[in-house]
Amino acid sequence: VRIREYLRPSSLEEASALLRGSEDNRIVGGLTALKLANASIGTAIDLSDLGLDYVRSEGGRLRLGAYASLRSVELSPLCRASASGILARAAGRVGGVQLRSQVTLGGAVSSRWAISEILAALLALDAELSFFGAGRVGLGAYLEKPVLADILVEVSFADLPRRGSLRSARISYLDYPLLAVAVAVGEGRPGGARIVSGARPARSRLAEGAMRAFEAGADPRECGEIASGELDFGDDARASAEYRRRVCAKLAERALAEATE
Amino acid sequence: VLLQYVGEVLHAPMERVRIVAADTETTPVDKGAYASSTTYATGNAVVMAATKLKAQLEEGARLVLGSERPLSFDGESFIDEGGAAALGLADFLARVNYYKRAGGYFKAEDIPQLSASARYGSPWAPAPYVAGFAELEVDRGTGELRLLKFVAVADCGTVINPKLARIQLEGGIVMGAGYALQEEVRYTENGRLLSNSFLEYRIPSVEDIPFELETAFEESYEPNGPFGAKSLGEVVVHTPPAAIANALFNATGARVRSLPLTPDKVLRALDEAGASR
Repeated sequence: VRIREYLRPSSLEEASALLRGSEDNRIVGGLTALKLANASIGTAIDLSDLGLDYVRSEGGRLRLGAYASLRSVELSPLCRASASGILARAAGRVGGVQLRSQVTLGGAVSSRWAISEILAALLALDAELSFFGAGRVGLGAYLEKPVLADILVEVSFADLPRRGSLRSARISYLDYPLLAVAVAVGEGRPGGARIVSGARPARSRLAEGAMRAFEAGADPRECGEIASGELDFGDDARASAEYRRRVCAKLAERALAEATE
Repeated sequence: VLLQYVGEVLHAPMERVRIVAADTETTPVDKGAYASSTTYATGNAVVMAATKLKAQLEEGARLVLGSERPLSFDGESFIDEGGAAALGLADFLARVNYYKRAGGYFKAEDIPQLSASARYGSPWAPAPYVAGFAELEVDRGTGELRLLKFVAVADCGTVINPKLARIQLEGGIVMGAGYALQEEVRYTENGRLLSNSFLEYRIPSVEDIPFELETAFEESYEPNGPFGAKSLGEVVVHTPPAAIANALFNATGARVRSLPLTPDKVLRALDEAGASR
């Protein structure tokens, strides 16, 4: 990564003005994804001085600052207690401790890294993103939009379900998942479930047909079959689309079984 | 291991021996031990050189004392046939070093240079052997494999250094397990290397090797080896891939004939064997 200028603004207004100054300017988080992308940055805008590294429960919402590290999400008792801890678990499966201490949640979201389990877990938990300019945007809607020239300030959740499950298939422990499935299940069946498949290897998406079937009383196996039938899967060097389709059904079945047992 | 060899021949404690790593300025030309057989091939050369050096010391001491009879070196002193210490090492070295001022003791040209080198090229390749045994957990729904236990028994002739031999074997098993289960060099169709970083090319991490690892040595005596030793180099990597692939077959009837045994390949093989779920 090449950086021409590095600034730490003291307010979001100042940061926003800097960001709008040039297309080459970037908000930087832990600088891990940008480093991998070997990005060329005009002004690197570091938000470390804005106190955005919090994880707290406030006004009935779980609120995570955009600068909260994956490590702090992984270790947070609040994140661990919600939806069987799937967000904490997803955060804990990225690289080693040093890397997780560096990667910010905001960076993990706005890099839209398709193969990460974090986005799958966040989508299952119906995360809302708060931007400095655009205000609140649902994660699902955000993922379908082009990149915004805006500042992600916070990731928050209304009421988190108690049960959830995160499943992935991998070649080795530290490798990217070949496929990931995250589910969050409301209290009792009528509450429904959110079923997400990520690392297809395209970005995470809700399996809405499977969710409707679940609410109508289908068993985990049937829901898994529906999810794998309604989503699209791709080939890459690690696994074939066909493999991912089959494993999606299997992982969704196991995840739903775990979250509802 | 090489220090142990020199120490054994010259009766010297290991801390009095120093190894100089290959350096074109100070060491003889060497093209390598081949098949990582340092213990065997380099070891033989080291034992030969140390044996020559010992003979030089003993001959030098005999000349210094003007004795007709041979002396033997015990690490500290030169011992005569009656078992008495006839000359100490320090005294011997002082007399050899300052011979000009000690005129009349002996003629300079009689004293051998204390310098020995040896080369060893083996017409034989005494094979070390390893037997490997794997216990594997197979996920019949995703094709993921988890190594639960690995047992390896090695025959490397005489075990010269038990601790080093053990970690050599353990390290090799982990390396072989990586080769079997996860390490893959990937190219695009046009031949561009994709696995060009440790992000893309995953060697086993501590999380990948929680398996029980048992090692044992079944010693033999290699007549051509230094003190009966054979090598214990690359052989340690060889058994995990075969043992793991055979454990998969033994458990499920699924055969995968290319490495690594990735979940995608394993699941297809499970399908063919009618063993997937």
